[in-house]
Amino acid sequence: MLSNLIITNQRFVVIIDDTAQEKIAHNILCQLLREQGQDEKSTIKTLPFSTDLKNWSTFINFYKKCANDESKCNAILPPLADLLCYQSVEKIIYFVHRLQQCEQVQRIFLWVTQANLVHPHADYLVGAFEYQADLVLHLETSNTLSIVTRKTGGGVSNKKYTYTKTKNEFLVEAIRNVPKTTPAPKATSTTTTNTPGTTFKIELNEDEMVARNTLKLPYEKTSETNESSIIYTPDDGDDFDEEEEDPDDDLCI
Amino acid sequence: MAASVLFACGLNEQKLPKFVHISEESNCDGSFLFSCILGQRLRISNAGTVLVCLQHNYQHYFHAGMRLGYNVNIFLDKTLNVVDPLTDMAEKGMASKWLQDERQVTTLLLDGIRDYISASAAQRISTTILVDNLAILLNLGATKEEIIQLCHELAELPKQYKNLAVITKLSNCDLYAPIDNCVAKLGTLRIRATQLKSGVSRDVDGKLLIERELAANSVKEAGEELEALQNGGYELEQMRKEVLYKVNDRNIKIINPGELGVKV
Repeated sequence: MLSNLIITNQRFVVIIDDTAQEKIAHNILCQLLREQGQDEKSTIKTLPFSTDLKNWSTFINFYKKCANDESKCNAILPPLADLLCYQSVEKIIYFVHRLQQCEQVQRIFLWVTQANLVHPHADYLVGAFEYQADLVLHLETSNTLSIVTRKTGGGVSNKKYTYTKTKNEFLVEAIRNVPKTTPAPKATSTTTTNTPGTTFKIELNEDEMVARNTLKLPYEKTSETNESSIIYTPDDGDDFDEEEEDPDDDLCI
Repeated sequence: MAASVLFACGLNEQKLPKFVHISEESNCDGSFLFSCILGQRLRISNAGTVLVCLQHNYQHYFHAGMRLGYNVNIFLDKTLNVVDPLTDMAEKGMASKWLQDERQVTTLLLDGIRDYISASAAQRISTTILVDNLAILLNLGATKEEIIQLCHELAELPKQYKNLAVITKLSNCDLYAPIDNCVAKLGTLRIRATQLKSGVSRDVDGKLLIERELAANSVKEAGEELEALQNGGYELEQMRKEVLYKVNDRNIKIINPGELGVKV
């Protein structure tokens, strides 16, 4: 389940969505938290989207609500596209930073859909939040996602998964690591579509691509040699000149 | 005249979805949809309509209506109220209130709509707000953020007034795609007017891609609708439909994909 990978010790979770699921972002996040035993009445705090977001006091009140709570809570923020309509980038980053510092806030969730950002430098903005995040879930396509986790010791892991989801389940399966000796399969090769009208399969999936790249054909060199050498085994009949003189010295040319 | 296109889009019923967004691609005109919806709303007895003319002025809708078989002048200032910045600017020039302060354009528009709604919504069985091309607000000096804020405010109106629906339209060229996405997610029905990928056809002007949320469609009561949206899990249940259209002189013809072809 995706919730096992997302609801961890990492505090600031950024979801980068390329699949246009922003409309149900809140539902998805609540469902993930519920799967991990969190409760919407006590441990899930949502900053609701409304036109009140234009008032900075709405953000301050939400912070106070989280900070004064007896139990640690999970803060779900409105999608970044909505926040940007009412507040500046500086204020949003400041607000997230304040929530990160708050001891009572266990996790913060921010949904980012780049296609919905009206900011002129949307790319930099997404990068800034990725930099600030402890965990980045990237919904890349309708069946693949990646998770970048920054651990407290400084380690970073980047794992790719395939996923299938129904209304109540979000199942993920890790994609097997590609061996280091083989080049990574190009993204374009995995997104090729079926050629209409063909009766056989032309394109390769990821596993087949890896297998093809690792296969050594018989005519390919198996080891690299830097310099050539002649290996000669002396024979009994060999007549070597032991004085190392010029063998053609006796010729009168 | 226009019943088939409204039926295809799911806009033929007396009660409309609370927020409908129409996206039109570059070089594709979805104005015919507005004229069709306007005619359908005006024909319903005691149903109020607020028409915000941004791309076309009131005269355009009058002439379009006459071709489609209805006369908007009969309903003007009765069940039809019009906010027409273009005509106001043409008549008053630089003295027009729409040209005084760029930061106030969306506020003026919202105030104009609210004035009409607050005055008449209680007396009507239903009210529909039709906002023609939102992209024109950019030309009047509004920022992208202000346009989205305006749409957020418009999307709040159905919560305040019973049986109120908002229908917006936006040209969706590359520059406006983020605004289009942000506005579309406020509603439960999105209609995209796009060109044919295969090129220009004599029989077809373009195609309509209709995306309708099933949860909102099946649940009728407002409270239950909200609950249904909140209860939705990982999957957004949508009905997607694609139809081709041909705008004729006095009607709009709807064709299913694959229906046209060489007939021997």
